[in-house]
Amino acid sequence: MTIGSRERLLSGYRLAIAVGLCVPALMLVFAAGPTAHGQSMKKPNKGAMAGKKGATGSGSMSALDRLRQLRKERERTERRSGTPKKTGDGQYSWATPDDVTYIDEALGEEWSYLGFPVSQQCTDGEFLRRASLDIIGRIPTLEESETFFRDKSAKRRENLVNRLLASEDFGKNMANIWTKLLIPSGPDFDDEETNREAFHAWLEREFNRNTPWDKVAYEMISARGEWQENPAVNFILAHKQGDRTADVTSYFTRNILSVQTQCTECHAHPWNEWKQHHFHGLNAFFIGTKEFEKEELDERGDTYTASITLEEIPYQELADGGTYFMLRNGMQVYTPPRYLDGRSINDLMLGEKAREPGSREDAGLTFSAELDLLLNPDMSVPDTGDPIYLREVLAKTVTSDDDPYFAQSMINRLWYQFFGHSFIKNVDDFDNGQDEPTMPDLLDRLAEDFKKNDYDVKRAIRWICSSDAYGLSTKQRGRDAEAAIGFFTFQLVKPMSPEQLYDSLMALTRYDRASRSMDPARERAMFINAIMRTFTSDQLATTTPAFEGSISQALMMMNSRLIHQATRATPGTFLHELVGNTEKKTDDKVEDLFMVALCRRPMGQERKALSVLQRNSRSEEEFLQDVMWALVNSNEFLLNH
Amino acid sequence: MAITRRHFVKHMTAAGSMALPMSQWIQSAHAARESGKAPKTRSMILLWMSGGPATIDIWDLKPGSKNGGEFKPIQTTGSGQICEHLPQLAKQMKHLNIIRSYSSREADHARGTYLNHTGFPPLPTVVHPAIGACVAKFNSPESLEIPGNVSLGAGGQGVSPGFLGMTYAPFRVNAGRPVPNTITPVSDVRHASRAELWNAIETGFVKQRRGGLPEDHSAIYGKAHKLMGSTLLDAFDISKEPENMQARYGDHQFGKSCLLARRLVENGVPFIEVGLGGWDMHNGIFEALAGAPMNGGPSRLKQVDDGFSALVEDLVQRGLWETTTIVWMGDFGRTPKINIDGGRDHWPRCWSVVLGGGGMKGGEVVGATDKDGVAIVDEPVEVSNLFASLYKSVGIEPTTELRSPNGRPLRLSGLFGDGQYIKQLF
Repeated sequence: MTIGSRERLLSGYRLAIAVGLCVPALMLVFAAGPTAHGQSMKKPNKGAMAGKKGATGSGSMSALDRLRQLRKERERTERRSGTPKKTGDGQYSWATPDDVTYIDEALGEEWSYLGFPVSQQCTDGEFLRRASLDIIGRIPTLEESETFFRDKSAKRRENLVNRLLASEDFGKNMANIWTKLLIPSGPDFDDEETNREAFHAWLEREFNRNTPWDKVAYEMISARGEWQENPAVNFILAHKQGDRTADVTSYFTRNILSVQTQCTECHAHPWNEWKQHHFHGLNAFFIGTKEFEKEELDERGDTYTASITLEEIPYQELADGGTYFMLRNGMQVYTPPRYLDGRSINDLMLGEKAREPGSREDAGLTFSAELDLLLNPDMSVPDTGDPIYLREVLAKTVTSDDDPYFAQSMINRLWYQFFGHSFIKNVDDFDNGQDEPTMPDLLDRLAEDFKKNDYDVKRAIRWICSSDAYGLSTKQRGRDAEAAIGFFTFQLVKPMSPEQLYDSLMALTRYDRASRSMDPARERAMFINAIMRTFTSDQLATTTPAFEGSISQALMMMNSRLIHQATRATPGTFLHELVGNTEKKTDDKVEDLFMVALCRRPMGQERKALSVLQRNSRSEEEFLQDVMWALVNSNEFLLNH
Repeated sequence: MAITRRHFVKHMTAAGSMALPMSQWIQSAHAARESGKAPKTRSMILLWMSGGPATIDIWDLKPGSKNGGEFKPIQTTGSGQICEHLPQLAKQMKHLNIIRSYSSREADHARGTYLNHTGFPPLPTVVHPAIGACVAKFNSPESLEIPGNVSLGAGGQGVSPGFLGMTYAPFRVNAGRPVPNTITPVSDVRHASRAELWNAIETGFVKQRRGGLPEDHSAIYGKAHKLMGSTLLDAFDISKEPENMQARYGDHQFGKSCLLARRLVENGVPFIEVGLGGWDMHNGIFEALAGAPMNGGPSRLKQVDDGFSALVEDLVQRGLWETTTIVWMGDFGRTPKINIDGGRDHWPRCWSVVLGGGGMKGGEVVGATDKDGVAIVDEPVEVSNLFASLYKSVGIEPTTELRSPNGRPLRLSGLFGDGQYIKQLF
């Protein structure tokens, strides 16, 4: 149960109620809350795991709550009986091999409890566009739309998702997302020190093969070898600066575990129990890791880094089995490798299970006791006779089934990818002592199923896409629908990433096929760069999406040479094909453009505007070009909804 | 006052398409006049010396020391001496202050650029907003039709609006060239015609109540359209300046950018960064600083002397000095020791920054380095002290806190900043 989270949410309504958006039912729920609230707030540090032991079956249930419970139970039995779901386009159903109706049940329960109006199911066209952008990172082509709309079966949405997951573009989209997370570009990065392209290609391959996520993560943490031959090494290469590995540690905990440790490099975490030695214990797993650069001369005679190889010295051969760090009081202390929950190398290799985050041996220790722990570290290792590679020990620990964060982190990230909001305020910030997941039980159960199914990413995406919530419209009901964010009563409109925008522009215009450029990949990179300069990189967008366009971007979309050329009827482009088609009526050509750009036909005011525009145009070509321009500049095109 | 009126008139001419904001603007202008205060944007111009300037050869010369180099110091109208190759600037030094005891701790170009633009060292989890984004956020007049953060020939590495978002991203323009993408690629008539269809799609989608993003998109497009039709685009056209004025600023990109910066300040833009590169002088430093003109234009010092001095003189003459802050700095300073190639390497430990205007005193010298320029001996100035002073000079409380996306409170004046500005300057 998630009483605590609900109260947190509801407390946000005070203002709304005060200004007259008062919903009587809400006030009742609010008034019934304080005890439960108090209970959950006492142990804020348990974070992600706390929900399990939250208050259940509160004795003082109001009459309204009881009514709700009845209604909820009735709804649940209805759902179990397998009522097909309805949209404006008729009925559809999902027949996934896995029973994940609990997603709908859990959300349905929250929705009826909260009493918030839930949006309707979106149209099939909206679903097509959304699922395509979320799964393959671009809008569907005309052919792909036609395939979808030809499918009149109740399973058409499920069939679509399966087709999208089987597409090679799936891996590309996932690699775009994960490369940006794991090796972002920015002031911290020396591009010479990592091979981002090789890493991207590797991720793309792994996601398309559907390699289990624990294996992918294991590789990224433990890999040894040359950056092209074993591209997984590039993650560590990107963040390792000489002997300094602190950024490797903070990037991997933040992105693989959704735990932010970076503040604890220099000071104890302000809101939870994490101390500096947790960070440096984890950081010590990288002490044996070394990189070897191979430099070559370019044509001008300047040296450049031709290749880097990441190696590791076995633990037994290290002169020093730990690392020094400075406490805030200036005292220099020492720690051997220790996992976040305090387990030593010895503990880990002997297979000791993960410790409950709240029961760390050092939780609540006095300073002197903590110091004692630091001054007398357990340095023993089991004598296996084999070399011990610290990163392998770490990777095995991180990706093991009993790790409290690993599976939840990926599920939560996927959820964020498909909903624009995760179960927690910031997608990469579990256990920070402040924010609790909105639906810990659901997150937990999905994570358990993810583990049971061998960390099968495509399968988890099928679960998410089959949920009622994923198919909800982005049209909001009720004035303050956004206050229920995190309970998924409607779908959020999401901004496109630069890569999504580029690939969508190409799906619509097919300019990439017309371009006489010798190097389409380079052209794509240049275009994306131009967009990036006017867009913000979304690597730090971890909460609710915001529109990150700028005036420069709007000017570029409206007036640049780039867009002007891309929206012209040069041979090879979609527009050229349409203009050259003498069989098709102009109206149908316009419908085709709307269908690809927006996955719908023109309506109402648009039809009027279209006929005026057509009258003012000197030729069909000019008219269609103007339609294309209007479409690519619209909010409906540029947003994922 | 004259400037304010001109600003006002420009708005009047553009009024047709923006009835509501216009009336609001008139109201606030009236209100301000009644209370006796003209609404004047407090602006900042950052002269960014990309690559890291050798301040030991420019602002803090060490004659007689083995580190002293080839240049001689000259008297100025302020209390400190500066390099002989800055004769025009020497006459303006009564308005400017030299901090000779600045210390910034980052010796890498990207990291130093980030630190000296944001007040924070780079951190893996948050992208701090650069000072330009912050000043634009706090000081942009509501009626401003052009972006409040303009970058003139400055590089992009490590300078971003960070978590403040793209609204405050630098609007990049090259002085002497038209503002990019403000001219439609089709005729005006055809643009208006296609924009009607655009409008039908755009507003139709907004009406469907899908949250704030569709509306935000429309708002940005509204601003972009306004800019395309704005008479303020004229502000970007420096050829409108008299020839002698253009000559005074110098016939080179830096001078042109300084002139454009002044025009933008007159039009209420709160932050302008002017970039001048080529300071990473690992060899042959004295020739590079003050030698004969090369294909990159006159020497670095000649360009600085022309543009910087003209800008100060001009702003003072136009009565804009009290409301405009100028700061000159770069990635870091350069090593006091001259290396084997006759150059100087990266040196963040003690170097000089020059600033003035914005209600600060003038002609002051803050702090000092020792006789060889290798250590600070008096009044050390931290990054946070500099940033606190800069924010204070444009009327922004240095202890103002922003909240990063992960909930961490960040003070404008930097990581360990407690808002301690440099007392000597105020």
